[in-house]
Amino acid sequence: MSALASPAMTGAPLGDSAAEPIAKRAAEPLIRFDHVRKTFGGVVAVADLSLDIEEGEFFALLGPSGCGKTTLMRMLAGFETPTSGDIRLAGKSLAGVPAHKRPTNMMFQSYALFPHLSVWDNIAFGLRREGLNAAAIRARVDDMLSLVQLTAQARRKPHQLSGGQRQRVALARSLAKEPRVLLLDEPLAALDKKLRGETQFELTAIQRRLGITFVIVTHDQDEAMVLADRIAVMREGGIEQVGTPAEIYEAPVSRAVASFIGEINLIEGTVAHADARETALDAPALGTRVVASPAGAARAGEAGCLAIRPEKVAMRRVNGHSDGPNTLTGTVSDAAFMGEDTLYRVRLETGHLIKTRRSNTRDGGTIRLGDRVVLNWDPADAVFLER
Amino acid sequence: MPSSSNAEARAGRGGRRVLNASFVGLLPYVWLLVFFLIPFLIVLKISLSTAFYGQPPYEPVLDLAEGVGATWEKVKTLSLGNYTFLASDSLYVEAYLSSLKIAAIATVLTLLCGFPIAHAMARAPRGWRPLLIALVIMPFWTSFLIRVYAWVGILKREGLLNAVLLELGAIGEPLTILNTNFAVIVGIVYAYLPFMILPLYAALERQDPALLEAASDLGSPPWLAFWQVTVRLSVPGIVAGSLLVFIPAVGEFVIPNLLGGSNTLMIGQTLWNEFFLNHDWPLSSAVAVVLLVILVVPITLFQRYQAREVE
Ligand SMILES: Nc1ncnc2c1ncn2[C@@H]1O[C@H](COP(=O)(O)OP(=O)(O)OP(=O)(O)O)[C@@H](O)[C@H]1O
Ligand SMILES: [Mg+2]
Repeated sequence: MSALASPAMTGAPLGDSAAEPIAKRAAEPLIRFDHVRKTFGGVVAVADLSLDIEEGEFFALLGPSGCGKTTLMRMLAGFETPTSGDIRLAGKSLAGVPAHKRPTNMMFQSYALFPHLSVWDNIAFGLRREGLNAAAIRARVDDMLSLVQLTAQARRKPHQLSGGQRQRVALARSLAKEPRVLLLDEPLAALDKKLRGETQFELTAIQRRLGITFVIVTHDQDEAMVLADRIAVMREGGIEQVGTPAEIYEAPVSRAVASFIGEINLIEGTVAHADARETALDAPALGTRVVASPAGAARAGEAGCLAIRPEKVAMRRVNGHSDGPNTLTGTVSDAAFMGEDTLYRVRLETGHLIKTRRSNTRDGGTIRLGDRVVLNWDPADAVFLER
Repeated sequence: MPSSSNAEARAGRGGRRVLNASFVGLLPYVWLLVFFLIPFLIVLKISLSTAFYGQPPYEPVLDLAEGVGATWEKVKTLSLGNYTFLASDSLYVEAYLSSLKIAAIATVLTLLCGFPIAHAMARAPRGWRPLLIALVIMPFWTSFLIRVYAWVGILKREGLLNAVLLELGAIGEPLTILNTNFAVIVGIVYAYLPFMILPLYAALERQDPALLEAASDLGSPPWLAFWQVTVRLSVPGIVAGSLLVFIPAVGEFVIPNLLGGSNTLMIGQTLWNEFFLNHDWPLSSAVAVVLLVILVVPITLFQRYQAREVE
């Protein structure tokens, strides 16, 4: 790891951008997708998408299968050409710049390691194209090997490595050229859960040290949350929401984002009244009125949806009469033990199920299936969604 | 004691399985022994004998039925005379060299024709590939002799090729192509192309297209990426295809006979002449043994190479 302290690693990023005026860079983000559209025959993979990614960010593209994440990344790497629109890197259009001249490097989902080359030669592959002398290449490859802790395996061929080791070779190879942007297409998909968790921490640590902009594609929301500074949630070739993990989680802008990220209760209804303080919703499924307090632009009579995370729904056993806003009673219908907490589903009198999460600490008191419980939540924790 | 008889039965079954496995493992060796090694030893034996008018037309050797003493007398008459004769007569040396040269040129040309075809096949839509493979194999449904003979009609002075070239105005005079070494090479390239295409296709088809992208992502322009990845990873296919063409082409008889000229010198024809015209079985056996030794070198190299690839 000491290798990271070498000036070559921490110096200015490579590429023509180094000579560029600072003012221009400040004016425009590192990467700008400007109304990009990509179709394959009749299939629209990316539809009129605009997105900015800042220098030094760890940025995640998150979305269900087939929403166009890989296509977006491949256009950035130069493997696909946008049907229309423009992609700009550090203020310069990438149109017409072939893949081998772009200051981006990609870590492929299948790793795409060269099977006939040793680990060492795989990592050296890109450096040999830069006209570095042998000593510089050797130093750089050795830096990378120690970064991913594979020094002992340098002479092995890819087929002699474990899945996790191969993944680290792929990472080292794509980092070796110090790209301005590192693209990672589902880099951890092939790893088991434990290794995945460890690698996620390594990835964030490496990204912080090198300061390289990372763009990661994933359809695993937990992974996006753990890794990214900002997340773009994609759906059907477009961007649904861009924000920090907390923003996306706490304040989703649509039902699609809300239900894609984690567990959530979506309560459909009609707006009873809305003002600067709160939005009240008549929810037939609950047989009552519920309130969200972050101000929205809703108007009375509109259809909408109230979203509340299970862990924000408090649950206690019924003792006496309870009243107040956002208070519901029901019976515990099922419980899924998840280790540190348990996800309960509570059936209301109307038959509607509300999810609530309760941590498995000792002070919680026991709640059993069939218990009658009271649920309630703070209006400030609920969000009103129009879409 | 039911338990012990069970154990025996199990051991018996296990033993049979081991036997079966080793038998299956031996099969290729049995095959090689019966169809390669024994015939080779017979040819080797004949090559050490001398020609003689009779049936068979060589001095009998190693006939154990005549008793040990008589056999020993025969063995003492064996000689390497045929081999020294081959080495001393420049006709044979030249025939070997010319065969190797023609086969080598033809192999390179087959590779140059076969690679783009195999590459296009491997990149074709998945659904088309079985059809394309069938098209490559299709010529085998017609007699080899007829297919080679058809080239006479194409290459002769008043043949199809000259007619087309004259019509296009590319040439003023018909070209003499038939009965030259060039015609032989054309024939070999044509006849052996499928043996080149199929191993190349097999090597190219299983290449991950992401590897090419990885190479260009790491800074290689398309032509270099093609060389570093596509060509490099199909080397096993190139070697296999080249040997499949080169080895039979060296000893080819039909193609030089039909398409070659009076000054085409190939060892297959020499062997045929010694055998059928001169009835010199021992000398033609010696020609065959030397040919085999010449070809064993590339075969061994190939196997070394394969072993290293597997490692
Ligand atoms: N080369 C191609 N030819 C035709 N259609 C394609 C091609 N590449 C992608 N598509 C289509 O474009 C859409 C987006 O594909 P893309 O691979 O970008 O999705 P993704 O978000 O990466 O999905 P996943 O999570 O499954 O990898 C899909 O409908 C896909 O079928
Ligand atoms: Mg994908």
